[in-house]
Amino acid sequence: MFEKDMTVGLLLDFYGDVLSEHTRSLLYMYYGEDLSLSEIAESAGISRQGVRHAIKKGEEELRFLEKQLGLAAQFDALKDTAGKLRALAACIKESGDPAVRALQEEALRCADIILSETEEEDTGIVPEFN
Amino acid sequence: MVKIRLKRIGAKKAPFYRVVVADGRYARDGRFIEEIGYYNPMTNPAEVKIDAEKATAWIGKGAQPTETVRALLKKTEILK
Repeated sequence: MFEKDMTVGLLLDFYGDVLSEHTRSLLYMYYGEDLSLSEIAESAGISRQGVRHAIKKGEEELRFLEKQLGLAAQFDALKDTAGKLRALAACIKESGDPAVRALQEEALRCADIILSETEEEDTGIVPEFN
Repeated sequence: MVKIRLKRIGAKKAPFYRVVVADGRYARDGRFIEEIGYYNPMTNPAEVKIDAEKATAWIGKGAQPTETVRALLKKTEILK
């Protein structure tokens, strides 16, 4: 059965600005709002075939960009590593040595910075229509 | 027509979806009738939680799940 790959939504976050406004908005309706092709066709005023074609092309472009640049994968790995760093730092037993404690706190702070940068506020991701 | 669909929430680079019941006529403005669960594609495996009772009640009333939601309902064994 045909299934939407919702991870395309993530690629759209990374590379959406590279696409044309039109393609980006169609992809957003499809992957962000889970609208059907015919619903999108109706609201965009183009044919269902046209929507499908544009989405396919847009998706191809997103996958191509990810293949070449790998930002999403890199971002994932970074998030993973920061999580591990956090867990490792938290593992250090309560130490009487203030120097060790300071290092532990610094490591936790670094992990937090990386993780907080991965959770930036949602800005301008929802394109406006009409 | 009343539809059950996903609606994206969550921050940039961290997609997270609500499973919502919405009127198909208001597809574009994001209005929805009820939230019946969520779907997080970012975890491995993806995390899905749907209120089975509400989902079956809405489907019983004729609400149409989208293909994506239908797949999730099957995955959570709410729909067979």
